[in-house]
Amino acid sequence: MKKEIVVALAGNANVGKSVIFNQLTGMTQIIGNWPGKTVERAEGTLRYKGRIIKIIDLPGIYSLSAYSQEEIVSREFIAFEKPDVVINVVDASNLERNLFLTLQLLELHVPMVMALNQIDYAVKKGIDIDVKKLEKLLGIPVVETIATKGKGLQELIDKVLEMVDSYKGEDVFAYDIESEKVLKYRPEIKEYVMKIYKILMRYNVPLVKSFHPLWISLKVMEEDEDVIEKLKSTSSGEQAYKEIEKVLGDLKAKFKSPIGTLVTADRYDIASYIASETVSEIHHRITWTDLIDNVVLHKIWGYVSMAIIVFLSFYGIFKFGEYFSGILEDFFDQFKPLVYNLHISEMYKDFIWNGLAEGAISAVTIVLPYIFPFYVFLSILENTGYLARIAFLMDEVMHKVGLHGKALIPVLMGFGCNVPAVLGTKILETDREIFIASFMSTLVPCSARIVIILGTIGVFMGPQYALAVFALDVLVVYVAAYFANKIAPGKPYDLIMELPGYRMPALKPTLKQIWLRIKDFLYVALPIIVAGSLVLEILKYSGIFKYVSYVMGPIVVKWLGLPSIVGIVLIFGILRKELTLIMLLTLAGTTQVSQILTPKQMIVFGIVTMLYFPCIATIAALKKTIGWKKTWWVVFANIIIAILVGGIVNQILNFI
Amino acid sequence: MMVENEVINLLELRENEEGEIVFIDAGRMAAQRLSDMGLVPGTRVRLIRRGPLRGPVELEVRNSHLVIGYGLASKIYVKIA
Repeated sequence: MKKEIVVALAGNANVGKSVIFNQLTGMTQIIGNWPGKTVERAEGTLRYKGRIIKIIDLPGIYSLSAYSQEEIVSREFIAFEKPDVVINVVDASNLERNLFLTLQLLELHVPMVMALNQIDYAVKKGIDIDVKKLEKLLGIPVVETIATKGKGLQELIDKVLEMVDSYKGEDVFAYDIESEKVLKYRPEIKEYVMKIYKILMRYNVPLVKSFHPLWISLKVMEEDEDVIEKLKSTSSGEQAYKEIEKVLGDLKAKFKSPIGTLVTADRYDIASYIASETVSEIHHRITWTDLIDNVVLHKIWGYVSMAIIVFLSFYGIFKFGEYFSGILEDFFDQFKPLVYNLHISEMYKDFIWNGLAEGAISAVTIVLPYIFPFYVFLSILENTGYLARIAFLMDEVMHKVGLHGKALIPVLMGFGCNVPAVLGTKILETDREIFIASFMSTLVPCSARIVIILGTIGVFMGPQYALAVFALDVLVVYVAAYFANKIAPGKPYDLIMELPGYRMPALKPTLKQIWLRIKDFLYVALPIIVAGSLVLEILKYSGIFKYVSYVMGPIVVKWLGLPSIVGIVLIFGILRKELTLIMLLTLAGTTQVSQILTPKQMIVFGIVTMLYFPCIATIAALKKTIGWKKTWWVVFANIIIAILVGGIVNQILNFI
Repeated sequence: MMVENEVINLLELRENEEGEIVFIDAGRMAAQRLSDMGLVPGTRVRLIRRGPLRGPVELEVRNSHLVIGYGLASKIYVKIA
């Protein structure tokens, strides 16, 4: 009995893989109702019946062709890491499309179990699936699941274990495509696949150790560049490929269209056949999704409703934050006299209150009340599927900057935190799109920067001024992307995306997701803020600030019109954006921004903090996504944009 | 009057009108992207709505909804089903 088992979750985007992963491993992979948020694979462990089951959540994909990074990651994982079982998660309400990937997974000849997920949703849509027949037609076990409620998951894992224990391996030398019960391509394809198959075996190409020869044969036939390159990288493979090319020449002569298209068409024919045999649509209902979309995707009402939703979210966050921030501030201020009545020197009092307490208090009173409602709104937009609608509405606008509507989804996530936004740009197809979208994301104010703007400009000048700063940011992001598009080499791509149906966000996973994001603030940001405040307080006594202010003075004081200490807090802000405001307050020994900055300075300060430098976490994410060279380019561009926009606004404000 | 079986561009379909894909006039990459999402010759599609100006189109294909950018959609030719 095998004790340690590796299981991979594979399936289309947005079918509930991450939910199954979270349920099985108890981990918290961020979920959302939009295609493509699992960009990096997530790993977790489940202990069950004395076994250790390692579970890998692969990114959502529609095919195993090599046209996106995610598809290559998925197929290479299956080939090289050799999971014991692949769980193919499919959306029961959308079986035909999902089966297209199932068939390609079957071509890989890995032990497989199907999780027919979101059965409840399919029932609501009036769809009935004959599971027994589906099992028979596919030749693999099929388990019905409702992942959000945990239903069917135990049976699913039982089937996985059964599969591991009964799997005997396969003799690739004795293989014959005619014995395939599911993969019934047209006769010419079958004939030529076997020809290629035999050549691969005759030359004993090393690639056969990773991928099943059937799959390699099909991919070579489809002119998959990645596979052909891998094949040709060894001398036996190169010889084999020369012979295969000759054989393929005969096949190509027989058909007008590229062979890849024929293989794809055959797969779809098989998928349609299986779907038609197993799915019965009892009644076609006009769904809620259709009715809502008639409004929110309407040529006029769509944009009106988008504006209303964005405005209400903004206003709701602001009002909630303002109210609770006030209550918390009054509460914590009572403790200040306690410290200052202690019989210790003034310097230590400052260390304790300004250094340790004030940083933490500011974080709790200013940041938390705004972050919480922000994440509630973000989760709602994400989990209901509305973000994908924004992609539809904004597709054309994004075209002007060389991107398409889908790129807006990660960029909008940047309002929460730039890190997932930058990592999320991997859902885009080309390096150029990923670069432009990552660059845009860094200029989008994350929750920390939103809080700074709401907590200063919003509170002391009024929410309409905060809104004006955000509107200016939208313009800056757009213009910056416009120039990035001009200089980035390559051609833009068009949008192609599945539009998910609306879902009512399940309460528990949504709350868990909000908690996860807030936990990140409490556990990661709060210690940094407290440590940073303390360091700052000590540095204040050391007198080093004179020199820093001297160096940064010309830009900060002369050009931006800000107090010279802002230069120092901006440096600390690179660690964590919340620090800029919190440290400004700490340095001034107050919780009232209005005592340090004039309204005009608040606006310039807000703009500069919003644009000036990606925080270190974002820089790390950028490095991972676009490499060091482009990362430094983005950082440099941010600095220039911040100085330029901040300075111009300052000069204009001085003028009026 | 539309002649039956006449091949037209996908973008010429009216809202709610169905068509069957006849051919896709695109490079290998674009054709691959479309076919991976289930758009191959012989597939029936229904145009649900189009965005304003040169905005994307929403199609019903194989019981699910796809959004396709204007440029990509203009490469698909259909006959009225």
